[in-house]
Amino acid sequence: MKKNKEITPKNGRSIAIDTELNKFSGKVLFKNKVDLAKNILAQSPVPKELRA
Amino acid sequence: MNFDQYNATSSSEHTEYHFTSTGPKGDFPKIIQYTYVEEAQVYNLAFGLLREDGGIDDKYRTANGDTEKILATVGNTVLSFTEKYPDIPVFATGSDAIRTRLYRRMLSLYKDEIQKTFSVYGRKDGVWHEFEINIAYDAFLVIRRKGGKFDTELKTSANEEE
Repeated sequence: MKKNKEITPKNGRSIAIDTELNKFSGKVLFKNKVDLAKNILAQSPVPKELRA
Repeated sequence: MNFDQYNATSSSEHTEYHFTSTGPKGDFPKIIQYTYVEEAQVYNLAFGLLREDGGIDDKYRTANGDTEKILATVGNTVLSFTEKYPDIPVFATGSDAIRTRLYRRMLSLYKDEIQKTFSVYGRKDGVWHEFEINIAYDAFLVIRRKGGKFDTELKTSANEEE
């Protein structure tokens, strides 16, 4: 099944779905950045009151 | 955000986005990924060059003179992504101090516009603060505002082939 759906963020530009990009889903492409995020957030967790 | 930006495409789950930077140095495919960090219950935002071999490089400087256009494109994907995943904070930091300063500068420049839709926080000395200009934060959180000006249902125009 090929999908070619356009999404338009409100007040943003349309973004088309490209199912070719699904090959990256589930893979961590930026492991160094994710590890950095984990380190920073372990030191500084997101305060509960900031969450929706 | 109606800034000059590239046309991006998205994976079906809206966790990966792709666009091509074009300029005097050539065409450079870029990929943006939102990765769920389970331990912290946030999505990490990262982007970089998609190399021909399929690898990723988030330190390569394309120097195409389009930094603001690239960041506006990334900003548009944040809008798109958080419409799909509105309740989870998005975390971002630069891969080096220069990039972190650049992100801070862009957030400062467009603070008023961004804050119509998002609550923005910066980390300084290990503590999260509401974002203010001219503060040397080393990381950022954006959280979609509930009932914010643009917090409306995703508009779609389906064109599916089965």
